[in-house]
Amino acid sequence: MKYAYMTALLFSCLLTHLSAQSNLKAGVAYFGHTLTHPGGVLELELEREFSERASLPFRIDLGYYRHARNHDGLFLDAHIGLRQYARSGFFWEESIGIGILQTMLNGEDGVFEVGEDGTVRRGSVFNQPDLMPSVTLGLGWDLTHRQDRKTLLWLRPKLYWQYPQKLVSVYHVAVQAGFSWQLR
Amino acid sequence: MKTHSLLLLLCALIFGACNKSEFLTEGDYFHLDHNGAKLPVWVKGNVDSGVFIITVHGGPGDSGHEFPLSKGFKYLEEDYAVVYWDQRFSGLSQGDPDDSNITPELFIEDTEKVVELIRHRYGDPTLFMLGHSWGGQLSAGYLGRDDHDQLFNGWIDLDGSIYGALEAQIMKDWILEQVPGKLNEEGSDKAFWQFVLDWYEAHPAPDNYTDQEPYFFADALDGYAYDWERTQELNPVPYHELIFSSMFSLAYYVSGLTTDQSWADDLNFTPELAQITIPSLLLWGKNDGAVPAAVGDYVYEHLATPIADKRLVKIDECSHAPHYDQPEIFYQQVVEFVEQYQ
Repeated sequence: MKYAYMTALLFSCLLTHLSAQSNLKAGVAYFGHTLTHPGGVLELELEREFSERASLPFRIDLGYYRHARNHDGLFLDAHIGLRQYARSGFFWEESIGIGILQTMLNGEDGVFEVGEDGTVRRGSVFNQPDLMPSVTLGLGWDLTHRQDRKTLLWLRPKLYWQYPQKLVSVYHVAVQAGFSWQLR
Repeated sequence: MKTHSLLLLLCALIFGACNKSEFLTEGDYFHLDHNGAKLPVWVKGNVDSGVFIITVHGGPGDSGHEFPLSKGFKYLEEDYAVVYWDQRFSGLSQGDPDDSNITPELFIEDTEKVVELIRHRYGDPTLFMLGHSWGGQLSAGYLGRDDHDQLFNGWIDLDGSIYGALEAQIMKDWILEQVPGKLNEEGSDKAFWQFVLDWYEAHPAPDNYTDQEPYFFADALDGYAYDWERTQELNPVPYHELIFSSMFSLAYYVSGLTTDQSWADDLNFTPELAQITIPSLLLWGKNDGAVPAAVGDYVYEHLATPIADKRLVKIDECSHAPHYDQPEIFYQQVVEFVEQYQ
């Protein structure tokens, strides 16, 4: 039920955004699962500005990462949050998100299945797709200080959940570092 | 300046990711997909020896990836190939298997598949099975059925469970034997030790796995690690590598079995012990509080292996994990046994 509420909240925010004064940005980032297991993220962000100092960003991320001997992850998730700018261009933000995470087993020697009769055959690396709620914090700088042409450099720690896994919900931590620039 | 700092941090992250530790480079790593669960298998050590020790970890809900962190298993890897794997719902296992039929039989079936996979991939090597704690119970359940023991040259039971109700009673005796001394000890937490007495009065027959309190009591009596500081010194944990350059992730800390373990409470694999006839080494910490050494006596008595081929060794100054507490003695005992029967 809580996921239904979160999804409804995100959609209502999106509708609000579409009818408001907004800027559209694209971004690219390093995505480090537990910091160092590498991946990348592409993002598209619609930022509604309440004032020069505060905005409500709505963001869609498409990402991929590889954690050797654990799993690879491909995800698509949407975030809604709050961003506040200081006069210097420094900004901080927090957001919640929800999306889909498709994980693939990562082991250099593959995946195997053993049949009833003991025969061994190759198996699939794919796990079932999981729900991916998340909480993301962020710090960054607006390099341009221009309302009409923002270029943001940022660092975002992200805590996300993978549900269902092992009968429960398992959690992951990642750090994203990247930049985004204004398209319009 | 700030921009440069952030770019430097970004470069450091990427550089850090390129540095691979032994956790990501050593041995063979693959997964077994069985009945909805994806079980990671790590074969590490001296594969050329042709002798494979298949471990079965404790819990239920712990991880086989903890064994190679101990000095005892590091020693073993120099002589033999050691197979570490995680059971369903545990450690680094993945998948979301059906929760409606969690049974010991399912875990035994997983063990069987792991053994079959190792035999297939490594050309039917010489096999030993080593079960620790709950893994001792699980390995007994596996070895004692369908003549599985005949696939192995020997069984190493390391502080292993076998019969839940009996163990809960033995554990109670072990704890209550020591509480009066603690109550009289100067500076001890008398309220806590009185709570232990009160708890047992209110719970005269606790369940083996569902009631967690006795495990906390045993821990407070150093029943898991004989001397925690010494154990830490002997087995330094490589935190930096584990966090930044290993297969470990936060998901490792989430066990799907923590809420309800009643399916394992009343297990009794004594009948299976009576079917195991292979050489067996029963290795116990004298100060084990989780599966006290008296359980080792019970296993020895009920194991069908001929007396000449079974031995029970109780280690001094050692609690539930000889591979951590007394790695040299653990190694020496296991090597003697394997060399005799390989």
